[in-house]
Amino acid sequence: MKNEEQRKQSTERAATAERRHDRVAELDARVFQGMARGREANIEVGRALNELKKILGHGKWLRHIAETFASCGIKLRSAERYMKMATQADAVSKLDNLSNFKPATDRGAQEIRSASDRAQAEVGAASGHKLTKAPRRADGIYQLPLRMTGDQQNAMDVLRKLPDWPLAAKTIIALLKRLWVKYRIVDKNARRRP
Amino acid sequence: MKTLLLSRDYREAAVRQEGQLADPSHVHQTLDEDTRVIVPDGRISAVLLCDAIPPARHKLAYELWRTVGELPSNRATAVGVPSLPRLKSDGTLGKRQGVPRKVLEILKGQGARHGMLGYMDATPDQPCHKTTLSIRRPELLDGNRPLIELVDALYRQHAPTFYAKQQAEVEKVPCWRLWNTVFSTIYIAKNFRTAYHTDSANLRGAMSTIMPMGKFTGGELILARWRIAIAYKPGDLLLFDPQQLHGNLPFEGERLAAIFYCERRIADCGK
Repeated sequence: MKNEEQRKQSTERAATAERRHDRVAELDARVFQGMARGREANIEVGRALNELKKILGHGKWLRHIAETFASCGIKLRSAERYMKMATQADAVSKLDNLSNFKPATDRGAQEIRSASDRAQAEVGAASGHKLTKAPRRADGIYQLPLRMTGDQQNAMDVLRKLPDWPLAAKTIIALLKRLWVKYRIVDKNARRRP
Repeated sequence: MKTLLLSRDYREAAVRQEGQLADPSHVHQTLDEDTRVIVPDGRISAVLLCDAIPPARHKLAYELWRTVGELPSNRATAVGVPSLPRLKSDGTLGKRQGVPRKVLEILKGQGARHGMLGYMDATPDQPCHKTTLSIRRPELLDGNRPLIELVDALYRQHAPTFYAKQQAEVEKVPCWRLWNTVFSTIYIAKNFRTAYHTDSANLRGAMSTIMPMGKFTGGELILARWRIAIAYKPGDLLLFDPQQLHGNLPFEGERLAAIFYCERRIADCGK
């Protein structure tokens, strides 16, 4: 029983280490791709290096830079400069995202807004509900609160590591889209033009 | 050509602006000369080519295309209003949604119209088809063939990577494109000031090209995420990524914009 638990733990440790290696390789590749793109991509390179440093820790990080990138022109000083640029850019972005866009105040905009408000009130009165606009969300990772057995979660971990994961993710989203139509959350005929 | 390297990203703040009308206070920088815009991750976001279209070409296009006559009743986000169910004469709600009638009346008064030329990909209701406007009035396309081919050549020259992707897509279905170009469709917007929107029906990873026409002042295109305005005028051509939020400032005069693009699922039309 104890042996089995130990074996399970060592398998998990191996899987975690492998994931870490995969991520390091992915970030290394991103640094090389950024270098190939020239100076416009310095911030992107800096972001990848920042994440690498976090994963590897200080000691391994210095060795990793020397072994992997020094021969291709990224010395420690340059790496630190890119990392600083990325940190500064991200800090600026955080502030920028707190900035507000004021509503348009020209006559045309005001006319459209007031006509739209009247139309919403009319439709609201006809339907018996107050219409409110759903807040717009940024694209990104969405975590589904799915209850799964341990085996299912393990299988999911394996699936996410496969090279075919992007295709599998698209299939899952296609299934979700069918469910949204089935439960009338979205209109199947809805379609936007440029 | 000038290269503008952007370092500030207003993504989170900008995304909340979808469906809102643009205001001059949103702009930190205005472009009015040949410029290539590079965003912080190194991608090309837009290329502005000033005086790239000879006057004879864009003036002919203006005369032919200013006759588009459909109200933009199916473009609620671009108009800047929520898509609402239509109210029937008995006061109940209809099944179809769109721009509210009250707003359409205002747009009608402003002379806002639009039209589609070329080919559309399949929707749940309709298979791939040529637009009604192109069938009824073939001269709108035929009369502007040299212009469309010129825009194609400029796109190939100034954004070759994006062009190659679009070309690979349209070459799967050669009969669903405009002559030998990479465009399947042209959208004409007349006196239509758009609120911030993205062009979700366009091919991903490709660029759209916008050519303004007419006699107008104002009407700059704003890319909300980068807080830049593109002050283009008749004869200019703008290549840009239509998946980023964009909208126009108000304008005075008669203004037409032609958007040359490739429909998102056009390659499926061959199946």
